[in-house]
Amino acid sequence: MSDVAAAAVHEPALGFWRGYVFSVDHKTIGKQYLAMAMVMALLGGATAYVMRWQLAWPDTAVPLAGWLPEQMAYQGIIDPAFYNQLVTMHGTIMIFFVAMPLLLGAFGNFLVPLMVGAPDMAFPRLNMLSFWTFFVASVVLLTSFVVPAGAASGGWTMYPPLSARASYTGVEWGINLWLIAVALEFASFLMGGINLVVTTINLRAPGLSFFRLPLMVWMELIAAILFLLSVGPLIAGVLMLFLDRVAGASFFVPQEGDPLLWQHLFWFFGHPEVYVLLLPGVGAVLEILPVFSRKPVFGYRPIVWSTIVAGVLSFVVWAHHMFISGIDPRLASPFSVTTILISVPFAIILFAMIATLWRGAISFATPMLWAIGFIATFLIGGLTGIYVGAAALDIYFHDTYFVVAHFHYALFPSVIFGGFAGLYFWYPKMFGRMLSERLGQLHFWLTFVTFNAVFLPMFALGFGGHMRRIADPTAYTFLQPLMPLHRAATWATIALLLSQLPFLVNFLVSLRRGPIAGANPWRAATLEWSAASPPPHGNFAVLPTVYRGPYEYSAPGAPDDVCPQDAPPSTREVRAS
Amino acid sequence: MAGPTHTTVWYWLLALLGAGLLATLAPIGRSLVIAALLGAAVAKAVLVARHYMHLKHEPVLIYAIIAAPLLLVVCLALALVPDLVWRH
Amino acid sequence: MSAIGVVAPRGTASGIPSGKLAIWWFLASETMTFGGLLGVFVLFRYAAGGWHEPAAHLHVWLAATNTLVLLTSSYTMVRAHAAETAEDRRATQRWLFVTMGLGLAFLAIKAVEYASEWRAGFTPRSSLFWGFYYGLTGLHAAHVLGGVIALVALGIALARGRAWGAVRQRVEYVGLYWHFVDIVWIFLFPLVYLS
Repeated sequence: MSDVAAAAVHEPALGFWRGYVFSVDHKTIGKQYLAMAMVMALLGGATAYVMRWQLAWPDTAVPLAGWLPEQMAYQGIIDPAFYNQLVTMHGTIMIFFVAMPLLLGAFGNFLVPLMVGAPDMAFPRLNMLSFWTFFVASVVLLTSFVVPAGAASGGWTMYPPLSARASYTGVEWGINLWLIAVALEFASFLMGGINLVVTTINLRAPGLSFFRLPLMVWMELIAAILFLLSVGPLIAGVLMLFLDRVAGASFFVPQEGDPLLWQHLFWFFGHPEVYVLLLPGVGAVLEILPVFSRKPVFGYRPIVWSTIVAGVLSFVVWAHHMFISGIDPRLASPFSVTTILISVPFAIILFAMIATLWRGAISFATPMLWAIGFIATFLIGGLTGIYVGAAALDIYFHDTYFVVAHFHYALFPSVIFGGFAGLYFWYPKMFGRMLSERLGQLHFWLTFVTFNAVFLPMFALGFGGHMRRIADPTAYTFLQPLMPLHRAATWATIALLLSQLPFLVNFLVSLRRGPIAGANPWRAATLEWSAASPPPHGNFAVLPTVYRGPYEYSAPGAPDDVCPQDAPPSTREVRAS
Repeated sequence: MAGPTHTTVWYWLLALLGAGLLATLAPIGRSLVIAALLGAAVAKAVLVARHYMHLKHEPVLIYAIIAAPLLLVVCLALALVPDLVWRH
Repeated sequence: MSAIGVVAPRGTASGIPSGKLAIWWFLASETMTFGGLLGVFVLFRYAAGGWHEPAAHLHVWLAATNTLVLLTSSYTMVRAHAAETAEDRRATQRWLFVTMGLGLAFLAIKAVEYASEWRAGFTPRSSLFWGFYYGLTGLHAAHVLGGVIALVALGIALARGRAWGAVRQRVEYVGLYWHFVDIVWIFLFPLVYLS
């Protein structure tokens, strides 16, 4: 039976700098990534607020933005060029500097070694290097706000020819710094991804075969592999775009170059990337559902195989982002087919989630609320993906708010709902304290309602033909009937942002004042719950041995409704095997 | 110890390099030269991979790790043909 | 960096050492980068009719020499690995040193090429061919430089009399990276210089 240390073991020999700043402990590094993600999320939310105000009440002063310098916002009124920067930085920050660090940096680093029964990641010092590279990337990106002509403004997709010459956007340093920041971020997650993959393959505890792994580990593994294999061509593309801008090359500039090439390279990475962002959220939900239904996950193996199939397919769907960009029209049908096909494995996973809930002894603790909320909202994201995945429909919908609504209904559930689900679930393990249930429930319901209120109207905007990325809808008469929707969405956005306050208060106050959490407050079965809360350096006093799968809840004939993975086999189990 | 084998491989690498260079000077058609060059390159790469990177002793997993990206690069290149080659 | 606080696990559930797995995954990602860049170059070159005019200004024989240098450096690298397997520390160091020297020679010849081309007025601005030339060979040269730095670090670790066991695996891993960089050049040379 694996020993559980009763309290966190301090490492006085390490001191402040080695213990908290230049730490090689995967748990500390995970928390560092979490802190970065939370800070960047505030900035990402701020960009959303300013944009939404501008859309609802164009060319009026944005409340609380009066302090912005004149080039950005004259007396609080958003400059159109600055709006483009906001659009660009919102996407860039949310995807590369919030979602990635939260889902892979924080969850991946913190959980994977614990869940596989290892004392740390395979390469602790590489792990530390990957975090600090990410930190430098973040600083470079933030610097781009204060350089002459401001931050990058080509959209987070940075399409040339607009982005290929500084004179086209008027932004020189901003986009160059953006390219450098993104390249550094890629380097950071390449290192992190290799760490995740090797740790999962090599550091599993005795008895922990691949099909006994918690689904969260599977999801992190597949996400890391998708990232590792898809990012290369875009790194090449970033180099080419950088040479175009800085050395006057013409990779993406007609007549010699081809602007479409960038789109191909970008989306060859971009599409697997959205699954990189989706899978960890799905993993968190799949860990939570069995615990709060006291039932094993339904369809463990189909889920694994579906995820692998989806991962493979994700490499051959990318041109669905480019249907009306001028690609050879004959490419449209094959990519539509693969895109619609890829909905099948995800549907299987969603059905498996619902089947896991079916006839379970459900308790609606906060993590469970987020998990169920994920199912409800991601469903809409996934289904609307089929609309835009069909090339014929996409001719109308591309570059409208329909797409914005679709991807927010896919990303928000996975990153935010899945992220909060994971945070509420693993907070006791990370910090040794319990979060307030009441604040958690308040946070969930407020977020759930306001999130839908922001993005549901956007489908209507899309049907109405409302284009993306324009700063002033009042410039178009055919959009005027849609303005009430903008105002509704903006009020909802403000409410959504304010709804995060209960979480912030809960998170910070519970660090010191929350009830002390034991090792296994949720009575779960996976290995991380066998370690102390928080686990000491090295995680387990005695490294565990695994005897069974990860979801042995309410097994018939078992003495308890949970059987941890590393509990020695009972006589009943030995007889049955 | 595989000393001599490594040296033999090195001789072959140099020979293939020489053959490729000679092919460019030979009075044969352009496409034949390219085919010869690519063939020589592939042969050299396989020699280095098998004998210097010891791929021939490695388990299947390593082959899978290197096969996946090669396959993906080919997929990407093929998908780019309509836009980059047929268009221009 | 001191080892205080580092819990470096020694798992190997797959039978393959973690360091080796890590290098191969890294090479997989690098394959995507170089493969992507080279693949795109080939397609553009084919579509443009071969780019024979700009390519005529390349220094084919310098580059061929560089190919010889790099192929030989792969040979010396694997000899270093063989020496490490045979527990011959001095021989390992010697072969690593030669490899490092050959890597530096490659970079020196490349610098000569670049200088001559730049002075002749061929920059990335000149045409798409030159953009690809500098991008491809530049990225590759940066990787050679990275390899040389890794070799220097390895050589220093060996010279310091560090525990042989801790350092020896790295000879193989640096070697794998080095051979990969050689293989990239094996394809780059004919595709850029000889086509």
